[in-house]
Amino acid sequence: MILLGFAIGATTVAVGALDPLRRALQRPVITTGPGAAPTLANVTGLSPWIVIAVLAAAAGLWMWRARGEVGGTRSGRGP
Amino acid sequence: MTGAAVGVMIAVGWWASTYGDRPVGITFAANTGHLLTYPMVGYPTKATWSMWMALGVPVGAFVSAKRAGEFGWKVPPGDSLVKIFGGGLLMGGAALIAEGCNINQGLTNSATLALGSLLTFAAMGAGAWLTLWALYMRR
Repeated sequence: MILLGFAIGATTVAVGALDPLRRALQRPVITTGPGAAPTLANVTGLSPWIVIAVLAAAAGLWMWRARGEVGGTRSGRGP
Repeated sequence: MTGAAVGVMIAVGWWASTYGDRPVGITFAANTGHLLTYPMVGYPTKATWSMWMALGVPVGAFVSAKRAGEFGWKVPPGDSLVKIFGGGLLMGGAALIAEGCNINQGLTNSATLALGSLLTFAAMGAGAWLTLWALYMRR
């Protein structure tokens, strides 16, 4: 059933009634300097490793704060 | 350990996909959509590396489940079918618009710090949270 829905959704967007919507949503292009890839590191001008460290720290903090919620789900108090 | 294994697989995916038309890495949603649209309407115009990779997934899952003794056919409850169909509809359309799924945009492409992928991944997180709120937290 999920594959049937997937097929109908994909076909509608690829070549069907929603094709113009797909083209419109995919039209905007992010550009950076000549020859530079549009990455967070290039846009901020920072070393990629600094950007990765900041993202990892943010994700680590988020996971640390979610410890209690995971424990709650395991003990059967989840949705 | 799981995170490290996923990271290694993402890197291997980038390498292995260079044997296709272009390096695309591991993705699941868009190519699954292509597996369905290719025989039906000829989109894309030829079978890609990602489509072949997606075909290998159920084979690997079957072998793994068989070896673990966990293989079995499961039929979802009837009242879930509409929800499952609706989810598939949204996934298929969104995968083609976003040109990827949480694996492709969230892991494969975000690993390159690509702005578009990070934006897509953030939007997926927002969408997941909104869905959870609408289904479970609102009441």
